[in-house]
Amino acid sequence: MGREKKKGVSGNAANYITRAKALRKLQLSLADFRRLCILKGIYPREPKKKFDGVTKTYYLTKDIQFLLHEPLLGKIREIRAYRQKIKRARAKKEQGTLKTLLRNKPTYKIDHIVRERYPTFSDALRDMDDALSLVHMFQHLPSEKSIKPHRIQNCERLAKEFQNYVATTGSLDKVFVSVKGIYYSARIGGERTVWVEPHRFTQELPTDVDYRVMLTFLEFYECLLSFVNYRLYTTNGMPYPPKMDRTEGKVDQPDVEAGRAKHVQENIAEILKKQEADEDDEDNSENDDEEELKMEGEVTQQSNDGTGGKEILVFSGLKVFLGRETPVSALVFVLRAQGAKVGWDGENSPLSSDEPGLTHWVIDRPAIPGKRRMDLEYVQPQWVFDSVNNSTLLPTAIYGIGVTLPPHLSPFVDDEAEGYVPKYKAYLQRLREGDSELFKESAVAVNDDSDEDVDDLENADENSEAEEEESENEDGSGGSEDEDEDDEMEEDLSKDMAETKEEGEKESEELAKLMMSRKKRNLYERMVHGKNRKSEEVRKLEERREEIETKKAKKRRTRSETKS
Amino acid sequence: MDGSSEVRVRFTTRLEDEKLGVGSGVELVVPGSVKRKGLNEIMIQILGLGEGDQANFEFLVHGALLRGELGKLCVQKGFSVEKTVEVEYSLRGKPVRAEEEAIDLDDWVCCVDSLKTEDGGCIFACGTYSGNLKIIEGGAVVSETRISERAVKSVNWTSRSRLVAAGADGFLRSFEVTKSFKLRQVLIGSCAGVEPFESTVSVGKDRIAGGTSTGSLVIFETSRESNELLSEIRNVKRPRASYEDVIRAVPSRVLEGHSLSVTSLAYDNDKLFSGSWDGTVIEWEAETAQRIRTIPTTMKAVTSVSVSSQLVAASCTDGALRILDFRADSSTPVVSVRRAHRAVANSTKWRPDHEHEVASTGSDSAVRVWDIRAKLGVMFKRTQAHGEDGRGLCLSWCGGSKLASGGSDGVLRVFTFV
Amino acid sequence: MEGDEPGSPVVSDDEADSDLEKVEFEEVGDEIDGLIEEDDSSSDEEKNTIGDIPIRWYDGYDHIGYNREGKQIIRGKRKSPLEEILDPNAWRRVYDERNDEELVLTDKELDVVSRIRAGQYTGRTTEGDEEIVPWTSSKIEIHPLPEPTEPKRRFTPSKHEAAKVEKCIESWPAYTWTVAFSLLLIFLRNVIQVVKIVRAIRAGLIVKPAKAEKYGNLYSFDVWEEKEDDEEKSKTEQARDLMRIHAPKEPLPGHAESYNPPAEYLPTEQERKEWEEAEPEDRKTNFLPTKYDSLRKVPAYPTFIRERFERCLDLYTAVRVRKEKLRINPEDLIPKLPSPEELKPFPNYVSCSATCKSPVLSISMHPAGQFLAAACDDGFVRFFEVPVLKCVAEWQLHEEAIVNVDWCPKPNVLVFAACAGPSVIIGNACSEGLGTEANAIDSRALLAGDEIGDNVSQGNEGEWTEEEDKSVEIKLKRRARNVAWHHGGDYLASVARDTTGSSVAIHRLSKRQSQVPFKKSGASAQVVSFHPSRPFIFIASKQHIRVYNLQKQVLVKKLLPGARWISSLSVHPSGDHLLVATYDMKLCWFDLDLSNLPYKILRNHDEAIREARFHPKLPLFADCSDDGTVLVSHGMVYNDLLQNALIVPLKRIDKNLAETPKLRATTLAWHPSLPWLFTSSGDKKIYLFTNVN
Repeated sequence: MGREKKKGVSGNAANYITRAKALRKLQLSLADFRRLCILKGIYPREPKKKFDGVTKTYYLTKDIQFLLHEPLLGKIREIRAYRQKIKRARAKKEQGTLKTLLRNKPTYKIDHIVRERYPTFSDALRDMDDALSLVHMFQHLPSEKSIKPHRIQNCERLAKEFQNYVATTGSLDKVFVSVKGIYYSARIGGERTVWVEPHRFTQELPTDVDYRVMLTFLEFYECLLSFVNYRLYTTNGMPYPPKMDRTEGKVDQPDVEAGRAKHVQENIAEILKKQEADEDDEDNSENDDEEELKMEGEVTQQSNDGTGGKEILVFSGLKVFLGRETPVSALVFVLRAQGAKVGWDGENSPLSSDEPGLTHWVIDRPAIPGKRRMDLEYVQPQWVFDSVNNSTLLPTAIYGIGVTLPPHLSPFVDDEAEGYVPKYKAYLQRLREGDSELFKESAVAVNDDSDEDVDDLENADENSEAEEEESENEDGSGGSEDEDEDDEMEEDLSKDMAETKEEGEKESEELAKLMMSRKKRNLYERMVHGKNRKSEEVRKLEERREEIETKKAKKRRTRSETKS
Repeated sequence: MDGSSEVRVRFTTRLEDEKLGVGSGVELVVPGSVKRKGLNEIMIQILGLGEGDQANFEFLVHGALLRGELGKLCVQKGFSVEKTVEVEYSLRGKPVRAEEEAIDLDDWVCCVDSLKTEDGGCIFACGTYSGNLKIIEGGAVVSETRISERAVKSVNWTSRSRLVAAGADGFLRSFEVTKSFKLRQVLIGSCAGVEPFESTVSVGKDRIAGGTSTGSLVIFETSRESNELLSEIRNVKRPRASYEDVIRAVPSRVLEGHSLSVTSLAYDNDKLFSGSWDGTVIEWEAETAQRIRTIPTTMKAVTSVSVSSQLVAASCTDGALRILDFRADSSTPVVSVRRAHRAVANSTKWRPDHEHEVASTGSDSAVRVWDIRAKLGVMFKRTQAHGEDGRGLCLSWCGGSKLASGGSDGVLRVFTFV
Repeated sequence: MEGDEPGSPVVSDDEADSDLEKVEFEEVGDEIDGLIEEDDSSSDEEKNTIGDIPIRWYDGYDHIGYNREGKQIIRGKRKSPLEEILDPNAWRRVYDERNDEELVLTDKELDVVSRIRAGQYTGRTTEGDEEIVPWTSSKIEIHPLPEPTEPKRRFTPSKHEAAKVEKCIESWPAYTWTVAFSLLLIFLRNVIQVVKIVRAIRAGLIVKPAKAEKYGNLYSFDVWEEKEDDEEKSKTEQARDLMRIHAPKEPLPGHAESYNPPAEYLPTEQERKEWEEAEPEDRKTNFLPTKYDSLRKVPAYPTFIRERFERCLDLYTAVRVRKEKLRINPEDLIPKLPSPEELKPFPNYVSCSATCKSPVLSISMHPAGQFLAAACDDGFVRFFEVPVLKCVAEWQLHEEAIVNVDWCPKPNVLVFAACAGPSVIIGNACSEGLGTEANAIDSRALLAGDEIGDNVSQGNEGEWTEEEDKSVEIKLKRRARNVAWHHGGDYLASVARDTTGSSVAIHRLSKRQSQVPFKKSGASAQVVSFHPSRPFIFIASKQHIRVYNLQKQVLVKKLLPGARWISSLSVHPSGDHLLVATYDMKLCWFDLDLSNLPYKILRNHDEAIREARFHPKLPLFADCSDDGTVLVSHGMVYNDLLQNALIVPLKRIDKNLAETPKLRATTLAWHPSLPWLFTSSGDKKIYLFTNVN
């Protein structure tokens, strides 16, 4: 017999390493290890066999080996030493040393990590979602002793720069206002990037969150995002950093608070001025940007899910004015990204409220303030978002002031995967295929009765269908009722034959299942179970809609009765 | 084709009545969803009939009665809506009604045959499982003879004075029937050599055919005079010890054709049709006993056959009633398969002098009369003619108006159609 | 007062002192000016009235304070450091920042200063001026005095510190050039003084200019600009790339998450309640759909930060596993079998049913296909005629229940064997009014046997009693349970069982003789059956089936169905296949040529399988179970040994019976030639299933 194998030279034991061992190997404290892992993007793995206990977390030995060569490792150790020095100096009250140390604390750079984690730019683009979301969140956090103000400013700046890029190149393709925040989806370099920005309120910081972790992530994301921004700007021939002054970050604090609102206005003004400047000085380049964007769009249309590839900007040529109560910055971003000129209630707005040629006025109030202007449309903010998502200008009547809004649907849902299509979506679909009478229906409906909404319209035409259905089946019944009862006897004879037949069909594969091996059968049952759950949910949604509509119909009927 | 589409029809008719005949040749376009009622209205309009004579029309589309939607029927028939459809209309017979009388016999009735007398009366001969042969006239049992230990499987009138019966004991008996319906056994036949179990018998022109459980047919010649017959009987060689006082006739022919027991035989003047459990119906040349044609019915055992003008109605164990076409020029041997009963269909008989109508009964104890031209519907039905979960076992028409059916409830039901 | 700070320069001698001052003009003016002020305080006139405040507070202004008249003292034009260095006697110049004037130290002042620094008297005196060096101490030493001469290292420049200087020079690239220059100068002059500077630098008194805080850790260059395509990587790199698992993206929001979702997505009251009651981790969604009729009413989302945080946690703590999601359609898992349509005919519909007078324990179909024998528990055997299922005869064989009945396999006779109580009864059905005369003759002949019936051969296990032309009864020691005919129609085997055990007996009808050849294997026998063509007998005990060759009297093979309790077995007409039904819900198909393990095990039922039978002619088999279903299957056996048997379940017959809600079938029988199936059970019903459409 050959020599027995040594333990831990091959197999799981060699390929995986527990966290404790890793710490020992790297000579790091747990916190530092975490930090390093976050920065380097190392994550635990699942060995086939947890040779060292199931409760432990395992890493790839290769990863740890790889960390061993990380220059950052030395830096981290240095920082630890530095901290100890400071502690000592504090303890000994050696002010001078302390001052000295504080003056020159060791710093480190992580740009090489960006490079090695994302060898190519497209890799980076593929992984932007978390970075953007985190940055967008941090820009709204109040500064606090753990969260330094300059970090927040960084975030604001980065976010602004990115949004500015998206807006300028018009690569925003979807917006979704959810209860959590506003989801934006942009197509950059053929990659779809989705990020969420919280609603504009001062967030109160929960106490049970470890901010160091998030800050470490943020550290990397800042770095990544700044690189990405630079690259995006430079490759599109736009100057970087764009001419935005440092205070601009502060601008878009929640504008519900009137105090900040002023800042908002003026700063947006600045952005816009600058933007227009940009557009003026290199509009040609930007145009061919759009060309290539289109190209990308089509490419992605073939490659990615078919949603990509928008031909022209939705709002191009529009002049939109925003009411004070609307989420100005979000709207400005979206509108600009789709090619509209935007003005708002504030002195620095490029367009004044009595600007000639205003096409739309976005208002989020129960009624139109002041006297209604006949030369423009009044809409609620949702009109903007829905129009973007459907890449057409939706009939404004549906979104008029004081009208109960139609549901705001998520543009990220894949219907056939979902299996359930909300009614309004179907309606929009028909709209996009562009049958004209829908428009006038909607117009009519909204004009004649304000609290009728689109569902009613569809109800209307559905009802008509229903009527003709029932009419036809009643004449069908008329036909059947005169058939002789022998016939129906014959019917049921043949029927029970038929049902034996078809039951035979559906039963045949049910019997074939009996021939499955036990393993296969279990697998099969699991899959089928999953399917059923999904369909079950869909069914629930549908019947719920049913009862809602019946209720609504009843209401309408009673209303009409009362009218008449 | 959906109901919305349209069909252009041309009406034809065979009615000579100048009032009703004018409708023929009329062409018009009707919606495909129109049904008999609708066409009827149209027809009434065409003929300009008043409310006084409520005419009720039946419509034939290429030999199929219109039931359900016209469009659908066209689709089934498989001709396009573009070309005009010939629709023949005829007066619809009144919905058939029948008053029935029940003659009580003690036991399961396994066979019945009827004889129409000159004065239009009906004489029924019934065989029962207990081996009795009963003759009924005018709703009363006029004579009852125990002819065997076993069930009487089949009975046939040869003439007013002759009756042939086959028993489960494997013998085929021929009786002389006196005026007072006394039976005198003149002949007993058993087919030697083959497994003797006659399940059925049929009487053709000077011939008697019997079927056996092994699938062979035996033919007895009855053409010669009875004295020859008797002489033949005389020079029958001594029977085996176990058969006392049995005069045996030797079958003139034994036909091998079926693989399983022959359940039913039917003579059609010079042809003999035999149905068997092996699911085939075989047509034989009566003279030469040549096998002419075989039509299989996909492993469905045939329980009974009846023939009229070479159209054979066969009732099968799957409850279906099959119409088999033995005409030489027929392309589709199986004309139609209709599910007639929920259980085994035990017997079927063509209605005399009604070429399209056939009666059937089965183990769901129902008696039904069908119009084979209609894809759907029966002309007449009597469910539970033989009681809850009883069985209808045998049928016999007496003329075109009387239908007798025997079943497991030991009752002979006679339906008289008006 | 920073002057007495640790690490402030300790100046040993004067020129060093001045040099130090010069050095510190740039950086650490205040320290030295502390010193200067110290010794200026002695001088009488003080122009500047700003008092003892750091002068750098006036940095921003062009004046440095106010004189006694309250006039601003305007800061004068100062020489550039270069001029100063080039000035030959710059070293004896002191700049009084506070009064903004240059003091040139005279030799005398220098002397005084140096004396003060040396801790001597300021005035030069003749006496006590030179200090007494005690060459020898007062006390007597036992060792010779050390050589008082200085070691060389005392007056040679220290290499070690020179190295330090070099290091510090190269380590401060961002150093203002003047300092560098003067450093260089000093270095040329004397290395030792440099140490002080070094110290100062170490002490952080000389600081390099603060780095630009403007952009924090933001970069304005392109990391990816050098070649995008990943340069050649090390093996481990590539390996890591292979191992890398990208973090899954966050799920995108659905309609329910909208601030204004479709009404059907809104939760009902009770859903809302249970959502609120549920623990946060076992909620299905981390939010509750809510409808706001306009955008301005949307409040802040309380747990936004927390959700982000959880995402972060997932990113670096969650174990990442690559799970291959199987894309197969579940329907593909179902084995592709020929559809039942192709395998017709088979019984699929109840065509006829009859009610027996008492519960039926076993049924058997006559090989001629005319009569069905049903063994009832009131001691009767009842005969039904197919297809109408008319009970044509009934015969009380015994006062006890008939547990098993089997027709003699000869088609021309109507003889059957039945088990009742302790006896096996062989009856002639013709005597009860079945069949024809010919049948009767043959049956009698069979039953009569050979004429040697009187002298019963010794070693006969059963006692034979007979009723002329009617029946023969064989009494056994145990209660007869099961009987099976040999295809020859002369031999029959019976299983008799009681609490002490069971025994298999083989009876020969013609010889009126029965023997029990299998002593031990018969011990736990359940069912017995003959091979249709060869002299084999199959004996099923509870767990195995033994196959014996009756001629050679040897055990041929032993089959292991792996079941706990065998209920019935049926031999395929070809004799090479065996169907074994068990009470533990298994149906085992054995291919005797293949192995002694089941070729296929079908778990088709939820309860015990009572009986399974092959069709005598057609490739069909059926099994009936306590769960109230009969399963008809297609079992095709091929002639070439290479091809295995094809088994296709065809039809599960249960509910489509009009009469009974639940079919109970404990026993079944096939029609010998037609695809007809008969089942019966304790509920007295007998069903006939035929092939419909």
